Amino acid sequence: MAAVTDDEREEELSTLAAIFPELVRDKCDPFSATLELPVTPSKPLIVRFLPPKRGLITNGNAAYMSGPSVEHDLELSHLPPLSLQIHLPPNYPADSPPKATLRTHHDWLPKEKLEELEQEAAKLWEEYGQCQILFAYIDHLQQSADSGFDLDQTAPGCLILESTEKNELVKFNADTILSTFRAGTFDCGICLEPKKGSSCHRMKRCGHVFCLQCLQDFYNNAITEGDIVSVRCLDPGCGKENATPNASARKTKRDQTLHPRELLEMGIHEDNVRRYLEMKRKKKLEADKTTVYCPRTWCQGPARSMKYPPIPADLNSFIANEDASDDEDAENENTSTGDRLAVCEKCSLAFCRVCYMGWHGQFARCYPRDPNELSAEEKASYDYIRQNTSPCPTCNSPTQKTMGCNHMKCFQCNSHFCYLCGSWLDGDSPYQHFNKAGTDCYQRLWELEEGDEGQNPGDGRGFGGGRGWEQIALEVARQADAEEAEAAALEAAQRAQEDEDARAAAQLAEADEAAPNGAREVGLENAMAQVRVNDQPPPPQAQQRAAQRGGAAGIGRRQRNPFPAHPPAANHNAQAIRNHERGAGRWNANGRRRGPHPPLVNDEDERQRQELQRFLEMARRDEEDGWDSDELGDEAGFEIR
Amino acid sequence: MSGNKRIMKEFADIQKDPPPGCIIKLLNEEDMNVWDVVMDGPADSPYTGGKFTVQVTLPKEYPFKPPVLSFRTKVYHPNVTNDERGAMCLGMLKADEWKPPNKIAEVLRLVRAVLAAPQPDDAVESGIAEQFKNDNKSYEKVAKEWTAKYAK
Repeated sequence: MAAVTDDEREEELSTLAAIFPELVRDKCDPFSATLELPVTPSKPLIVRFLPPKRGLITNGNAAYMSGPSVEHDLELSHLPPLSLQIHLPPNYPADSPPKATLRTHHDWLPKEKLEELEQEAAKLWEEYGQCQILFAYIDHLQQSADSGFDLDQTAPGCLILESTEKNELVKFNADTILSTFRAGTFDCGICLEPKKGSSCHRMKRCGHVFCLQCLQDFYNNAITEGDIVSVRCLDPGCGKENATPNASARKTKRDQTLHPRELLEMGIHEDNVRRYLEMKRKKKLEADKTTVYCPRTWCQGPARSMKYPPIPADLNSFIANEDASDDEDAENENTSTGDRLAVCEKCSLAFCRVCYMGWHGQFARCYPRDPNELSAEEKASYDYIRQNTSPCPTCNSPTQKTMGCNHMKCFQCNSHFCYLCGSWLDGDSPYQHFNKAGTDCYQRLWELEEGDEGQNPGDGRGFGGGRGWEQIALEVARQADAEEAEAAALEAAQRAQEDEDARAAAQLAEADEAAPNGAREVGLENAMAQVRVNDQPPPPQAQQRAAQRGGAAGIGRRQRNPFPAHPPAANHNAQAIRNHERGAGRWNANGRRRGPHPPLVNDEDERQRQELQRFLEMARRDEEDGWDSDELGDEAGFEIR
Repeated sequence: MSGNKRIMKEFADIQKDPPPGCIIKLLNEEDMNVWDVVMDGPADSPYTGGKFTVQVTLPKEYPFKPPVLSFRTKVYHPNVTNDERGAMCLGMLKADEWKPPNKIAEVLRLVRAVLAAPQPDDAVESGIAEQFKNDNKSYEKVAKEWTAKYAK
């Protein structure tokens, strides 16, 4: 009799082992076995993690508790397996039920539930008329696991656990998801090949899957080309639902680009990820009108900003600042309050963001820097931008068209606009602007198709872009300047006539030699005029002229027109130098009664003159600090003639 | 790069199951990157009965960069430039809207849909677009004439 039952138990367990290869038979007891049953409920299980035991915490302290110490609900789709231990007693199945023991890793399933499930083995055995019920029982357990053990039917509607279990369960969930993903097969939409999950990546935000090779190729290429906005999910439909064409939605359009951590996970090289972040940051900085740049011409780095923190050395610790809506608050923040201190993030120069001088402390009064103080280089670049570009109406980035139609899209901020008049265009139907009869840009989509090449309005309604008004205003200012200059020239011509006979031919030659100098000499020339004014009273005419050349007239012009269309150029300076030399020549002639051709050259005079030439030469090369004034001998003995 | 293999695969797929009204060949057997498409003018449009040759050039970065379309047959349409390029640049064909999983078959379907239903607000030929909107009869007339004249 006993042999028969043995056979029955043996038979059932070996059948079971065939169905569940993972069944482990006990080596010591042939009628015991364990089986791990995965728990993957068809509907993710909601797990509520309670804050740590608050035995000592009084009500007063509870108010201070933050994040991790409050209740926290999570949805988990994989939970640690249910471990079933079966023991078949000698008189199973005829006279006694199987003995089932259940437990879970990390004890996540409540004891009561486990006991209930264990007892069901005996119940089933009864119901089935006391026969072999192991398969039926395991099947029952699996179904029970599939429905999440009906934990959502209980009073709280979810599973409640201590938060100490949280990390383990979350990790188990993520690991299981990952390993099932890796074991799967996916069709990559880019190379169109089926790929093993282990060589694929699932997008964090949207769940689309592509193969790693394609993603790496694409993103590396995009980052190398500087095409940052393309670093987003590659699925054609992805992100579309956010970009609905109504205006309010566009304003709050989410940044679709990827987090650096995700790029690193895809195996994109850290250098490239860093480049991606740097470019993203640079674009934001440059698009931000409140950004100020270092006044040192060799540096020009942006000032440090809380809004755009530098990229950390450890890219994993990077926190994306996705809030695009904070620009408005920050705009007033900087200049209106007394906070004028800016520190360059490249060279650490502390400077004032209003006057661009070295930092002068919070209490000094200062004024915005005059654009006339731009260096020649800055000026050239400024003039070029003014004459050959149209600014983006949103971010003011200068845009230059090299070819194509007049529908522009800002590379910086993605605004659509008209190259001709600078109007905003609707990104979904940008050509409407050119198709509306009666407007200035009607049927002018293809104007300047070959690029503008600095062409200016011929008919008065041509290219000028958003700078059209600026151009017109400048033209008016330029004309006023020209009239003024004409009047001045007339006056100067009269004076020149008077001076004519007093001027020495040799000095004229000298003056012409000194003439073709750079813009620097305006200041120098002024300084020299100053020296002479201080040393000896110059003749009234010269004084008047000096005033005209230097201070008063210049400032007057500046106020009328901060950006003269034709900036005081080299020949203006040369003229100034010539005037100066001319003045000196007359002074010599009148004061010292020296003839036009000095018959004798005083040694001392000649030495001083050479010294002065040397000084000018050094000043031109920006080396005047190295000039030793002692070489001229006695301070008092030195006269500038 | 994965580009060439993908082009071969796409070409094989498109031969097996070409988009409606399209016959696709390689312009030149050695070059996988230039496809020659002959497209029937869609029914219920002034282009019906015409056969339009469209050259599809796949850049060497394909599928990372969009294909370039060029109508070799003159066509009177607001969304096709009326010059020797015969360019069409709409929707997914724009550089910033192109996504690598898009396929040529989808592009050709889009082209045919646009032939059937011009998008005057996204027009490259504003004159034709105006006519299409305000004087549809004469637009259809010219389009039909051109189809009869050029798209034989």
